Amino acid sequence: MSNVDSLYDELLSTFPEDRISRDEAILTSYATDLSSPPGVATLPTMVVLPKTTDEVKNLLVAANRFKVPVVPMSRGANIAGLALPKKGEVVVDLRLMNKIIEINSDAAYALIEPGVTHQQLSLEAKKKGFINHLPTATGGGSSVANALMRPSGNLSARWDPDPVLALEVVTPSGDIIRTGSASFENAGWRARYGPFPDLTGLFTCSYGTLGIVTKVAVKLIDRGEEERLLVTKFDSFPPALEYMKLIVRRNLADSVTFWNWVWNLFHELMASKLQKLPPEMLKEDQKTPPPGMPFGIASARLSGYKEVIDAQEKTCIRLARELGGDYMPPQEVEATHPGTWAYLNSYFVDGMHLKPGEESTMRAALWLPGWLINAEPSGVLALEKEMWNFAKKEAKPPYMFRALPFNHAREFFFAFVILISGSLEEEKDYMLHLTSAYTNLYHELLAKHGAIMFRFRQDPTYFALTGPYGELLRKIKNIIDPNNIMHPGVNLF
Amino acid sequence: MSDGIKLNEHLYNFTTRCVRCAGCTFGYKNAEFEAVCPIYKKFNFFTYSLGGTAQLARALHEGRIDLTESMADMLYHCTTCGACGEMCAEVDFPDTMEMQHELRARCVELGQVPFAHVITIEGLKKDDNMMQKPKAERGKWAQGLKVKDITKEKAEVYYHAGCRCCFDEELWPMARSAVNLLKKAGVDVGIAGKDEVCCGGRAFEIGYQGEFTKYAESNMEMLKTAGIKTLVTSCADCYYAFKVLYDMAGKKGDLEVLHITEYLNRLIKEDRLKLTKSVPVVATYHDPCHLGRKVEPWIRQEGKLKGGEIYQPPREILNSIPGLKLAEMRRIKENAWCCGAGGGAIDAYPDFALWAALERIDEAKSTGADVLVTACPWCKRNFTDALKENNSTLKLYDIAELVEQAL
Repeated sequence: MSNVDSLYDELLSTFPEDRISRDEAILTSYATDLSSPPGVATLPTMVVLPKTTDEVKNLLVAANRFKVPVVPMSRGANIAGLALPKKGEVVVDLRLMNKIIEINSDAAYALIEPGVTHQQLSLEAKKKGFINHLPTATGGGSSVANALMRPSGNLSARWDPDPVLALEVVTPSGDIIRTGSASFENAGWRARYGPFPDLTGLFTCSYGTLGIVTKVAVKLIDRGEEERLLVTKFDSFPPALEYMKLIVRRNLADSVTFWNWVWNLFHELMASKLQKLPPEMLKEDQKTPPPGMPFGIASARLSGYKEVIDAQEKTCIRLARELGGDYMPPQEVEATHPGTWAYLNSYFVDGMHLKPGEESTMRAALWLPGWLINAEPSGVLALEKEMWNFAKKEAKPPYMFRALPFNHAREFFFAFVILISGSLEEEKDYMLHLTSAYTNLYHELLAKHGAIMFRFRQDPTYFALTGPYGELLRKIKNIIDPNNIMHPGVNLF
Repeated sequence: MSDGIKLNEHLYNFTTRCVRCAGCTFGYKNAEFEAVCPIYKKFNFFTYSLGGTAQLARALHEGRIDLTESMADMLYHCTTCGACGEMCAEVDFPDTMEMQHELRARCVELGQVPFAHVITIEGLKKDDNMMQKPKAERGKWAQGLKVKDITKEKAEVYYHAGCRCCFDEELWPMARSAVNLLKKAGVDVGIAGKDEVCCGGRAFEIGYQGEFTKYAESNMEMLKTAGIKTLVTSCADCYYAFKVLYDMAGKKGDLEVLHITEYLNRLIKEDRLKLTKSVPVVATYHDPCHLGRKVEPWIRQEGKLKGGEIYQPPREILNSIPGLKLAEMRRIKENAWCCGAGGGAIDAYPDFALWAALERIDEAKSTGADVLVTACPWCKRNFTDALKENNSTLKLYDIAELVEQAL
């Protein structure tokens, strides 16, 4: 009897048969995600659906005893292969752990399980006057997973990049650990660390390699009396960058994002029913926008008391103009960029994912390989230049970029995305070429500009660059998970 | 591995672009994040969602796996209610259920079909109906109605009863009410009696596309011979078949296809049916999938984003009944929870179908309604069984039966 068979037999005494499966039909759907090239997939040996922390504990203790590796999967969305199994691994699908345990209005946080979706949390938060820290994430995605991996959302500008406060994690030995203030009985989930070291942080960006996180307290943001979208336009990126640095550093906006014109046309595409890319998006000179269209826009979210927002808005407009940009009144944005206006309002003001029917089915004809990094503000202009050179050498139009102050104004998130239309089979070689180019690029950008990969892309050579930091983490990993059963396939350790 | 299943290009592209968010399983608008996918809610694994099915289809297309009995079993549990296609922004198929229909057609080719469906199709081939009943009994439901037979005399409007209404005696009243109402409104209506044949829609949904084509051609030939320009039916499945599937197959021609709720609503508005008697009940309305989500996308392809679905006519009818108070459930219209009978589930997986119906009945009760109204014989059959199962006092009516009470 193999170890997997033994594990299965043991788990059958814990899990009802309808929450554990070795059926090929079930396993197959867990083998691929958006990142999977055609024909490439590895089936897990088993999929388990726990409902409680105790079930997770029983599962991990057994898996550890039989030395069977496990892959935690919060629920989706999965676009980068981080929850895909390698040979012999068990997928622990956490989608049934989907309770919002508490929304603490007083302390502005929510205690949630990993199967809770962004939309689920956003809806509940909204009812109580809050916005989810992660307004731009996919509605069906897991708030816990995204929060643990650093949020892709934009409220990190004013309030800081990490929405995670305290958490509960189950380790392979079966310990159920609560971190931060939650380590004490009755102290609540309000604080990430203190008076002792930040153990919460150890489990962030660990991608399931140290344990399975079963509860997280995530910060919520008070919506204030009023929420507003402020749009300014710029003819190039440098003044927009200065504008973003200023208004965030001086707390004039909750967040601000710069979108180049191609990205704005992409928003239009999403809101339309067009079946083909408009020709202007495919033009060779991607640096020059079509006539009458700004090079890019900066969209800022303002919230709070009306009087304060009025003053903030006025000041932002003045700053934009002093830097050579200009204000775009809502009527103008709505008239010239209706799709962009709808998209920005939905995510940045309402904090909700677009609804079915409001997003274009055009998405079904696109691939969006992305290159996501963080860098200090001083390095961002060099990154923009590097990106144009990269695009000219390696990519076909259209390509688009956006940038935003991420960690207050201490660093910028920079996303460069290549938009591919056509079938995966036709574009397979191009996709693989870009993937390979990205891998090299991450190393180059780190060496040249100190720009760091935003999320781990399963490149073990990247972790190796961290020196003693990485070595210490390896030692910690060996203590927590001596049999290396926790998501070894993700190549972090 | 075999290379037995190849998807067309747009279906394969769809499978590769799923981000596994399972957004296809949740409602929106007034039912945001409420479950709308019966199989996903019942069986929990991602596999049972449209996204999961897409990953499975992708693996089959890429030759990584072969179609097995277990996979077919999973695919056939789907009630093909269309909620996933409504919810997922990635779906852009003329037929929302194209993925499921395509896979089922391949299941038929490869002989991986639930035994219950094999029996049903054998019955269809022998007796032209999906109920495994002798074709000679088809016209019994209309005995004593004194309605024209379009195979013998001319009529302006053809009323198609459908297999379920024809052979399920408990459902005869809904068809009889419909015909009575049409006659009372002065409509020149006729039926085909024992010569009526199955629309073929359910055969299409369980993967027997050849049988569907045969019955589409047979029906259109009969209607052409009878000079029929307008078809009315009380069956949501038949409506979907004549309205959408026949059109997609290029068989519909100029035939006007109306569901009884559309036609009754028209007659009430034209004052040809006067609802004067009070029916003092609190009613809640269940939207049949085949009148809503499954009809809408096809219209979208004709250039209109919305409008094909039949959501308003039944509600307008109910609101025009004196004394009746309409209490809506949370999951209505696009978000409606399937009764569980669709896509052949009622035949192959009756326990599952019953489970889905019981969930809907609980939701109906939560509105405070004492009457559950629907507009489809398959829904009515399944709800009837579910109500018996939990000894509910909730009364169940087809909409035509309630209208008749108000005359």
